[in-house]
Amino acid sequence: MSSQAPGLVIALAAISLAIFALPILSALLACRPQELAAASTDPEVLSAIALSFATATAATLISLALGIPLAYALSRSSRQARSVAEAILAIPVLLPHSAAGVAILSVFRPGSPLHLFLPFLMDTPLGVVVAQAFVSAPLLVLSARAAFDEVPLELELAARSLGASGLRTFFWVSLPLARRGILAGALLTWARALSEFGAVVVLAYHPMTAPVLVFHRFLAWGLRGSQPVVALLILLTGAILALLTAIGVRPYGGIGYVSYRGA
Amino acid sequence: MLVIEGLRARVGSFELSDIALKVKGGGYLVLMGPTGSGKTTLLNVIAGLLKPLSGRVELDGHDITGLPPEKRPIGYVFQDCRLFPHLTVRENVAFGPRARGIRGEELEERVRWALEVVGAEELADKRPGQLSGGEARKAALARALALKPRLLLLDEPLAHVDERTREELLDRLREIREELRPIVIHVTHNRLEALKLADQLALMSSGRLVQAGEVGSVLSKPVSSFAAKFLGYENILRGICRREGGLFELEVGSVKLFAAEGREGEVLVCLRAEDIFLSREEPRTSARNVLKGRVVSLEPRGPLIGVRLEVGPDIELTSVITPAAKEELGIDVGADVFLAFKASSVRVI
Repeated sequence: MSSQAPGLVIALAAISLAIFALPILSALLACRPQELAAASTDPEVLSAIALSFATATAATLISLALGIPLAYALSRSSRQARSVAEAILAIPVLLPHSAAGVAILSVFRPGSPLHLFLPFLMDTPLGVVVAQAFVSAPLLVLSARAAFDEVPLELELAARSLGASGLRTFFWVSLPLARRGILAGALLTWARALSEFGAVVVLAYHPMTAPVLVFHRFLAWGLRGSQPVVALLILLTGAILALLTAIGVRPYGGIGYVSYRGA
Repeated sequence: MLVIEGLRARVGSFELSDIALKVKGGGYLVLMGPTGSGKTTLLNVIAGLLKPLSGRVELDGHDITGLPPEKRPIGYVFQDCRLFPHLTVRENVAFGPRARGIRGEELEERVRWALEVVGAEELADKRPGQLSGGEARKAALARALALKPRLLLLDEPLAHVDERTREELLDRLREIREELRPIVIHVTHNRLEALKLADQLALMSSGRLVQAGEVGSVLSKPVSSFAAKFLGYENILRGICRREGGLFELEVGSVKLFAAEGREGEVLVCLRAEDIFLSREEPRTSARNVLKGRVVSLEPRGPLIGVRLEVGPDIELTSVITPAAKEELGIDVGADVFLAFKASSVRVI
């Protein structure tokens, strides 16, 4: 039988949960069904949501491609190298995201050798992807690094002793064992990219992603005009969560290694 | 043949120094020594998992010192098994051959063979997390064997398993030895385990090889007090063993002894000094072995006294007594005494 938490803790927990649930429920309840129906067939809303999903997915894939090797290298590097690199990675996460957007733009400023790439980023889907990836990839790197830390070096040495090269050991042992942590990081990265606003508006106000569209409608039409889009986004997010749970994605949990020393 | 010359390696502040060792083709070397003496470090250097500071490792005439671990024809059973938790036992066993490019029917056949050799067929579809300590050791052994290695490194492969599993694994190791004829280096703390398998014995202490050689010679001629103490058996004699009724009769020179357990043929007879009881008159005892002897020498051993006794031409045994017993029995150099010890105290190897 599991132990029962004290009554006071349960009461505080209920209050905390209610505080989190309140804005979500009120946004849903404030929206009339016909408004929700209209939003779900509004081409501008649908294209903003589709763009958000597509760019967040692309940003996550880029983060995976760039982040996994970096995470592995960090996991196997010295403490000093790791603290310097992780401080660099923390900056995009901690920086106000509009500032992160400006920082990205400064890479492509006039006079910079990369300035010629600016037209590919300003107000383009690629610009959205770059902004999303810059602020969300560090989450993947940190999560994957923690996952690689959990892979015992002894198992990699065992793989080497069995004839696997360093690269094969990575793909056959380290990566599969770190997959849960990487998956957790990828989901966080994707969610972070999907909701990114600050860096995206600086680089690409248009084409509008869902967060930009909510802001745009709020400025233009106020609460009443933005609520249906918000309600639709809440329902979609809930559906994604339900789907992930249904297909059994459990990003957290140990790697299941058993050492038989003294077993 | 495995040849190790002038090997030095360092792990933190621990250093392995000047290791020189030769194991002939098909040889079985048991490596013993106290915890922290460098046994596992030596295996890691041989396997290529730790770079030596100097020296060389040669296997079948090829210098493998500079080879990465994946290029060495070596199977390594780690002390903690190190089974891959995301793979089944079958996949764990297939790992090595796959990594070395074996595929298809040949791979399947190899895995089947390795699982069968160690008697782990029924474990094939289990995950490491579902295995007992003994089963994990079988799986780890099968995984190393699947490489059909020229050199097999076993780091305490029988530790932490129950008696029945240990006996079974011992039998399996004997069969593997017969079938595959690899060179084996087997690290253990268990003397009897070593004696049941080895034809060569090496002792390590503080990163150095204290003694190495043929089992009988290492056992009967310890080169240092460490070796003698570590091996524990002070009396080691060569003899011929025959089954005689329910017992085994041992012919050691002109002396006849009885052992409760044994095997027929040429054997080593081991007896601990503390298992031999001395008396001045012929004892009426249930002990199956009663010999006449003469005290050759006495030497103090802490609170006890070691008594060296001649029991036949060129056959000497050592016993220990307390100073009080020495006084009471009047045991001095030249005294005639009776020695008694049980058949179950006699170890036949």
